[in-house]
Amino acid sequence: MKFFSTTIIILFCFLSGFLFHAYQKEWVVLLLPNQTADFQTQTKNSDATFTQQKITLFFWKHGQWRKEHSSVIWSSDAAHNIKTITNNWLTLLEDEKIIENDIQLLSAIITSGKELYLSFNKDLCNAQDSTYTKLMIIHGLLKTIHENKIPVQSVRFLVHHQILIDDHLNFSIPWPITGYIPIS
Amino acid sequence: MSIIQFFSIIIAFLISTHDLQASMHDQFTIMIDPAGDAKHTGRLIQDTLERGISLQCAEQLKTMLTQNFKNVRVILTRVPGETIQPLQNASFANRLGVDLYLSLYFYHEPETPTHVTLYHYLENPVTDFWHQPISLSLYQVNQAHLLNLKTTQAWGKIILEVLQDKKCSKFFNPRGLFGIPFTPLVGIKAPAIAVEVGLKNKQDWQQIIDPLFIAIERIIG
Repeated sequence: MKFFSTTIIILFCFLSGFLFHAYQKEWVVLLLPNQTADFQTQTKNSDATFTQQKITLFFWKHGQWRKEHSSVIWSSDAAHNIKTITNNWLTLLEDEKIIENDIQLLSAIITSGKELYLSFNKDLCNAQDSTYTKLMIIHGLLKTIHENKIPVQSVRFLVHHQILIDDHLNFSIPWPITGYIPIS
Repeated sequence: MSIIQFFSIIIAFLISTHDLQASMHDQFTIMIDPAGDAKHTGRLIQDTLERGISLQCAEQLKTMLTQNFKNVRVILTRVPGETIQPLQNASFANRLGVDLYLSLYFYHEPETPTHVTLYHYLENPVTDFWHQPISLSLYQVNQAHLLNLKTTQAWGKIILEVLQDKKCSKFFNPRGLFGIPFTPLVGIKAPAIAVEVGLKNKQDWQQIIDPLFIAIERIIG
């Protein structure tokens, strides 16, 4: 009897020690119910409402503004809408061969001061392009966001969450949503 | 020394310093900034780099200006092989108190007529124009352009008018003068204008010399 109880205690201590070690080494991951993806999705979905909406995408080509309409799923979450608009706009510009392929928006965040942070995976502009061409690419995006009534006042451009560095255009400052060239 | 001799020396000294001040005041200093440096090659125009073309253009413009105007002093921001640190040119221009800062840029454009575009620095397209310059005040580096914004625009329009005049410039199609956050012009107090020229062939940069010379002549006049 004494041998049995000693064995049980040794086994219990071994298992407890093993589990604790596994937890420390992250061989075992414990997630509380409120940390699970399912819970987050349900919460987000219950807050947001989705509708179908027509958006207008603008781009500068052959010396004039061109526009294209597209239908997207519109959310009550403005950041979600910006991601949708920007990714559609990037696809359009890739199709028109204005920008390089595989440019993606990594994240979009709107601050309480209505400043929008857009972080891309690479520079939107080609280093060989003229300043005017680069300027009009940026203005195309600003015009698209502005015309689709996204409530932001200025935009900061980032690459991999760092300030976008360009030889000619200063992206260390927020760009007004109405841009620098009168939009007509 | 008699009193007459003493006063004669004083008067002669005052006249000479007055003349020196007058000649200093009459002198018009232009700083020309050719794009690129030893580290930054710039864009590729056919088989030539932007930094080489911009330097050739700046040197030729300097030669023409110094040969034709006695009261014009022209300074280039760099020599071949030199590397420029950020804000170095702005600091140089501000310390020298230059009257005009001209930055030259080139890029390849396959179609003719190629374009020429003028830029000046602007950070806020609305409030920057409300600014009233204050002489005894500390300005941040990104506000230096506010001191001479009206003059910058006026001189930019003069250059644009020359480029639009087909008698002076028939080779390029001017796009306009734009106030944008143009990084190379940050921190310059003097009227600072960047000229970006599209070139089909690498030797076409020579066509921009005469219009720029005429424009500077009108600015000085």
